[in-house]
Amino acid sequence: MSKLAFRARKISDQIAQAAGLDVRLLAMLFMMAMIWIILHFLTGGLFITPRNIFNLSLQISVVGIMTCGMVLVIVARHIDLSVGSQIGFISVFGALMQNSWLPIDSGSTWWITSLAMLGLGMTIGLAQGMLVAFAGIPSFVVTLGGLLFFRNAAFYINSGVTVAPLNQTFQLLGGGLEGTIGVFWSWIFCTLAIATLTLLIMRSRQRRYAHRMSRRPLSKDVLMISIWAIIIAGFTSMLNSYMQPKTDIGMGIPIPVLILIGITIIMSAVARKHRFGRHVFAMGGSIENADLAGIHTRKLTVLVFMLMGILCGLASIVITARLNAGASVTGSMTELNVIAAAVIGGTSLAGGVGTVYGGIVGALIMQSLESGMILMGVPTPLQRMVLALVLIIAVWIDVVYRKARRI
Amino acid sequence: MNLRPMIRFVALGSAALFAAGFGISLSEPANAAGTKRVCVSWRHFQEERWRIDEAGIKSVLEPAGYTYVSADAQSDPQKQLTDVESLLSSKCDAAIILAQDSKAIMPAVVGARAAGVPVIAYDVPIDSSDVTFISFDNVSVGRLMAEAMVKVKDNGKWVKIDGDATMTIINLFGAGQMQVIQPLIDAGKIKIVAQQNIENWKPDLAQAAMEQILTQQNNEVDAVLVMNDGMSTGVAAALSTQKMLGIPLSGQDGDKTVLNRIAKKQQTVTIWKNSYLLGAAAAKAAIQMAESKPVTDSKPFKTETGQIQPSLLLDPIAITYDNLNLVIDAKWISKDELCNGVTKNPPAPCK
Repeated sequence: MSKLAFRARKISDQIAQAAGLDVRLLAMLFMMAMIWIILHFLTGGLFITPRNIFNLSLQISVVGIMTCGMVLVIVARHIDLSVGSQIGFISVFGALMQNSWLPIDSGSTWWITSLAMLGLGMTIGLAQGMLVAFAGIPSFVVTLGGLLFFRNAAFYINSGVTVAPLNQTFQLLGGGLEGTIGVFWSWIFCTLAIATLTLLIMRSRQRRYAHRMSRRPLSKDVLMISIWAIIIAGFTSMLNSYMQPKTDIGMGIPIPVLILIGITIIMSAVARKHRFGRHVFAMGGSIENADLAGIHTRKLTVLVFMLMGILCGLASIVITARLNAGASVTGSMTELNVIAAAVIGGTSLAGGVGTVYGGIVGALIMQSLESGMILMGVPTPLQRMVLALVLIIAVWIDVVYRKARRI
Repeated sequence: MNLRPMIRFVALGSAALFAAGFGISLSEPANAAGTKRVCVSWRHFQEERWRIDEAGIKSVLEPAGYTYVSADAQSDPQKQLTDVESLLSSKCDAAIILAQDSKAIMPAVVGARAAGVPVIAYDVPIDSSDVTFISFDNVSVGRLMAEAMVKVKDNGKWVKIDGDATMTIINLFGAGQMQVIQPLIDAGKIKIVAQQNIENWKPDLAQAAMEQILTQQNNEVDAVLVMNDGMSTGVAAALSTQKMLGIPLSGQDGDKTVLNRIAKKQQTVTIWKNSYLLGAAAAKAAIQMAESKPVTDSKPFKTETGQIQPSLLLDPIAITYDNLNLVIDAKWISKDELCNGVTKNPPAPCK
């Protein structure tokens, strides 16, 4: 049995290596494809439709943005339980700012508010990071305090009263009816994305050649490019063929989704290529070794929490703009969704291991199940029970996979 | 490292907190001979709403020559027991208790009976036949909500967005809604095409749920029956993306943003509980009970375990486009807030 499993794994590893993908991502994408197909049938053909893909991509954006930061936090052997409360607090703050403090219809209100929200997130991250790194309080405790503090602060600053409506331009950041880039620019984006990808892969080929490393066969690179090109073009054409209600104008890519894509790419690059990201992984692997290697681990910890805070600010902008209101309960319990997404995506709570894109796929799996079950009309408590089981099963598969690897 | 100063500091801090947290308004004037006192035990006074209740209570007590004494339990049922004991020992003529926990409060009620002090269970039921229950009628909340909706649209495909499934109060709201809608469902006029409970009554979850329901129904939805205003804000956002804002939509609480939406004809109704009136009613009843008179208009109410207690259940008010003047008159919302962005067809108070 185990021999068979071993051989199966070896073959799948080979296929994956050939395609230039890592096995985990491949397995997760496969799992997601299965879930989508099953949901498509269970919902009577509603799931893989332009409209639902559009909904799904919007619904995942808030948790997705935060997951990018949470992966790094967990990799660094910390946890941030306060993210849900942070976005609630920042949301009420941002809504008050444009609704009450600044002229709501002024042309500069939207970006001043957005910057302030990002700044507030960064400040919260800085404060929490300092407490963790320099005061030596465990991050679990600091951010548990943050969870309670900011949730109540969100209530307190406006006595629990919901703030609405918001600035017209700001609302675009939430991806409502007007908040998309339209068909034309979506195709431009799609073309640019595929061109950039091709360029990157070709450059990596050249570099391998220059460094006299073994070259991948051209066919494999072409395969890789075409797989991604199909995914990107398919996604774009899906969103473009979703029409605005009662018209034949296509919607295109919503702004929050663009933000999510951008953040995912930047954070992936930071985590894998940039010195900062590598240091975070080193610190998560072993903080003593990282210290000995001359990494300023305290400063790094503060930076990781600041980054998380900025991403919370960004997520808060999206959720506030999308709801067109700042409500004090916004984002409650979201910290659990974010942590779950990171963990389903293969981030190890022991630190040192994890990928940003894995976290995004984790978020996508969770949101697919949730949205799909609403389409099916599944009662809410049952939905939560299913999600809980999926979380456990996903991590179980991960544990089994890692064990098998070590043999 | 010498820990002693730190320990002292912590001890001092906790002692100060403890003293402050005791919450009994020691600053109240000492009990002048002859003045009568009504004692109020709040469960969590930090929330905005209870200040309005308090103003209502004081508005009746002060002209009648009664003194108002209060304590705040800060959401701690244990502290509330101590609070009530302290209040009772300061010689109350009647007690108004907003219980944090309707069962854990029982020892306090027993204590009050022993001291001969009549007790009013305010807003939250207390499971005892010794108390008088004064609250809004939560079944009416659901009924009035549904009635206002049916007045606008009494047929078609309806969606029901309900509150957190773990909170039993939603059963009362739901029962009231069904009193109105069930006959129409039976007659085949209304069809509930989708129903969802929203965890923690969260607006963002309500928005996602409504997006999925609209997808499922291909936008063929004629009305959305929503249990509170927070969730209706999420539903309104989902509707506006589909250019469907303006179909019948309900809520509860009289949120300012929702009242503004009603003025813009983007929402049909919100059920408004004027807690100033509730406070006034409780104070009036407290005075009657302190003077050993029966409470006027009280009706028997059956608690969860079947205890019968006298009760005064106020009807909340359904606020629609036609009676927005009520919230202005009660100073619940300013004219500017209500009429913000209202351009065409302004309701009467915005003209």
